[in-house]
Amino acid sequence: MTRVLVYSHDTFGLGNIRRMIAISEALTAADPRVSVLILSGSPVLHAFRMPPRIDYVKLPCLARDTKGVYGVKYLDLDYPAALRLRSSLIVSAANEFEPDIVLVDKKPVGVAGELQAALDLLSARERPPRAYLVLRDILDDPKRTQAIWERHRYHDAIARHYSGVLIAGCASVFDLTSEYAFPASTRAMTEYVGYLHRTGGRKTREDVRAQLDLKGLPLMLVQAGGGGDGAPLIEAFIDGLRLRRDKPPFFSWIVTGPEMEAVERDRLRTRAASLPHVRFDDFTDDMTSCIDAADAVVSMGGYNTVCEVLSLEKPALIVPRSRPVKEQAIRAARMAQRGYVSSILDRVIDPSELIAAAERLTSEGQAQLPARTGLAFAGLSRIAEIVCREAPLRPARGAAHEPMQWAVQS
Amino acid sequence: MPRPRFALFTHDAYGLGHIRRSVRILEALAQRRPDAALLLITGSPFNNLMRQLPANADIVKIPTIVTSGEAEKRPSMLNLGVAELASLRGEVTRRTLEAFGPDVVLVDNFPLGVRLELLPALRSLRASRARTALGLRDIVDPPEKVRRDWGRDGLYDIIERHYDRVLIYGMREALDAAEAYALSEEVSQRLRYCGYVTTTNAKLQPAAEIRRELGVEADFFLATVGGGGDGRPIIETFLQAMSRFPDRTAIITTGEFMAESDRSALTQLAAGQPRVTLLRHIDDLPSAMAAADLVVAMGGYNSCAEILAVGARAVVVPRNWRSGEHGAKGSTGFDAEQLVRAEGLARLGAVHMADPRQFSAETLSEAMHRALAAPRFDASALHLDGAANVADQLIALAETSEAKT
Repeated sequence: MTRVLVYSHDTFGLGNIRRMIAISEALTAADPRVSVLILSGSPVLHAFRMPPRIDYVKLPCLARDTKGVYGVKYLDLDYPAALRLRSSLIVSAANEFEPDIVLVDKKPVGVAGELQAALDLLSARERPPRAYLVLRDILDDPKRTQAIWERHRYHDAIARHYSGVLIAGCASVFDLTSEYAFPASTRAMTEYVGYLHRTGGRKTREDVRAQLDLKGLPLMLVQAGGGGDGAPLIEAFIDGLRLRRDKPPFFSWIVTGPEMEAVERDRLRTRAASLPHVRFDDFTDDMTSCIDAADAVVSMGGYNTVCEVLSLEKPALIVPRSRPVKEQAIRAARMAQRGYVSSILDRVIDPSELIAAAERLTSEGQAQLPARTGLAFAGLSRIAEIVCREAPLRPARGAAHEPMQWAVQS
Repeated sequence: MPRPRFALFTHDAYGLGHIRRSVRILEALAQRRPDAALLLITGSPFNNLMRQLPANADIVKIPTIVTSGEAEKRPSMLNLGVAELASLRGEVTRRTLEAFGPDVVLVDNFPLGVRLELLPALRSLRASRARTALGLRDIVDPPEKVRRDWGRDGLYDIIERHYDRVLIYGMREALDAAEAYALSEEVSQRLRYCGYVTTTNAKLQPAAEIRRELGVEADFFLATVGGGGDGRPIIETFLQAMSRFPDRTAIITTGEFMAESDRSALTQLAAGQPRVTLLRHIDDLPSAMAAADLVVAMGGYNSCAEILAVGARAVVVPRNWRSGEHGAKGSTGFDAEQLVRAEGLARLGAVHMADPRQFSAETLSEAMHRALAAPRFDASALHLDGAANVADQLIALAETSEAKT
């Protein structure tokens, strides 16, 4: 039996946890002997139905506000005390679960180093587990990312504790190892595994559409991911629809996301209440089915959403967030340059422009749908191959013959 | 004491009763001490649990372990053996409590959790300043089974050694725990009866309004079988009994978990009775119970607690045909926990019982006639606000945690 311990970075939104659940599911599907234990402090974990042989330990929630400052979300504890609590929990889970494989999302030593003690403990074992760092296609703008990686000595941690770095993206869109100037030692153990192909929703396109009273209109899905900072997009969209009240160009299905402040959500719901051909929801645990059912999608630029619209070949208008990290803005710009999606990069969203751009999606479609682009989308199966079958890594370009000094350190 | 810390450990048995009780206790604690830090430790994967918690509460979810109920209906679990899962859960719980540093820890129903999992945590707490409380459902199990299990597993010693308080979510009048479970003098002194933990604060709708909503005019009967997974036989018998009340209207809720085949069989049976309406679900069941002239319900904790809280006139039918949440109960042919509860509450005059050992349309209608002839029971003197009483007990315990040596 293979035991996989997954650490999911979790302080804001749904993105990291959805990505790590998708990867976990790919692992259990690829190998019936795999059991996955996810460690995460995401407050939305309880809203997800876990696939078989996957369970989780939920840590006390931390929060990151829109300025990027960390704090404690619910418990009246100070930040260091909450971190000690989480770190202690992680150590006990790692120690007792005895993982064969460790997958770590994004931060090599976890939020504020909370993973360090568990990594030290596991690395000191007679037969240490193989640990992989999983990075999404883009982290943040290069200057900031490099500064953070240097300050926290992430490359040292990778050399000491990890067997590989898996980038769930494509160098042709964003050459992460070059953009962030990874040293040769890290490059030698890095592979671009490709984007994550996301299709399997639980409901068919027809079933989802049958439940909506579409009246022959195209279905536009408007969603703001976790929703924590999605109000401006949803509000601009509703205001745009109000301008077109007499002849709405599509049926709009608005999903705010579970982390939108309740007062904001209620305000938006009221604002949309009188509009024809609108459905308004807080959350769905099966967003993939919703995207599949839609004719086009308006959304923020989160990793999962972009993977889903590209996998399902939906024309999409991406309106990224640009704070506190630039990841979404970079992704939207790069994807739009290549014609995979449309995007609006303005800081203030003009409601009538937003609706006009959305309408173009349904009338013209996307110039270049992803299926025709050759973008690599085999991330899930490649990760399963590396993790379950110990397939050798294909090092990132330009580093194949570097000596792997990190491997002898112990 | 400024900013006290409370931890609740709630196991993840089949069904949601334990989790709901814990959430209500957390709400009551938060109302009294908004400055407290509240931590719920549980393996329950209950959907959207986070959203139900008060603002100063958080969850640590440990790996799920559910060993009863049908395998297909169990939540996703790691494929580790039970022993190893219990050890994993126990260590995570111990480390969590050590790092959290609670003033009070409340453990739900099982003094050692599953397979001794709580022993490391209890040992570590004993050496700390934390106070500990064991919360017990009004009726844990039939007394003879509790005495046998606790004796066999050495739980009497565990309770005496590790728990400062034993809080009963029920009434001494329904079951005297000290006597029924044969507790030592020492432990008996730590017993506190807190009343039933249920939503008593909920505002009831006026009877006229709920009648209009349900589409009934005069006094009506209400039959409810909880989730409904095994409710079909009771409703069948109830429908037969209804023929003896030709002037009465009845509303029946079949519950969300009743199988479609059972439901359609009942729909056919009810088709010949124009005064009977079958509903899947009533949003505001407590208000409907209060408005009904007579309630026929099963003997589960939540049903009985709601009946008492709203002062409904009720006939309770203990579950009688298959095992409940604990496998061993099935061997007796009826759910002995529900029987003990119904008998206790009937002795008190709070409900009327239809004996599950001789259950028929005849005995059910007799019990219904008996209930209708009796005056309504006044539950207001019973201090039933269990969540509030539990919270008060825990806060009082927290105040002594500094003094512990």
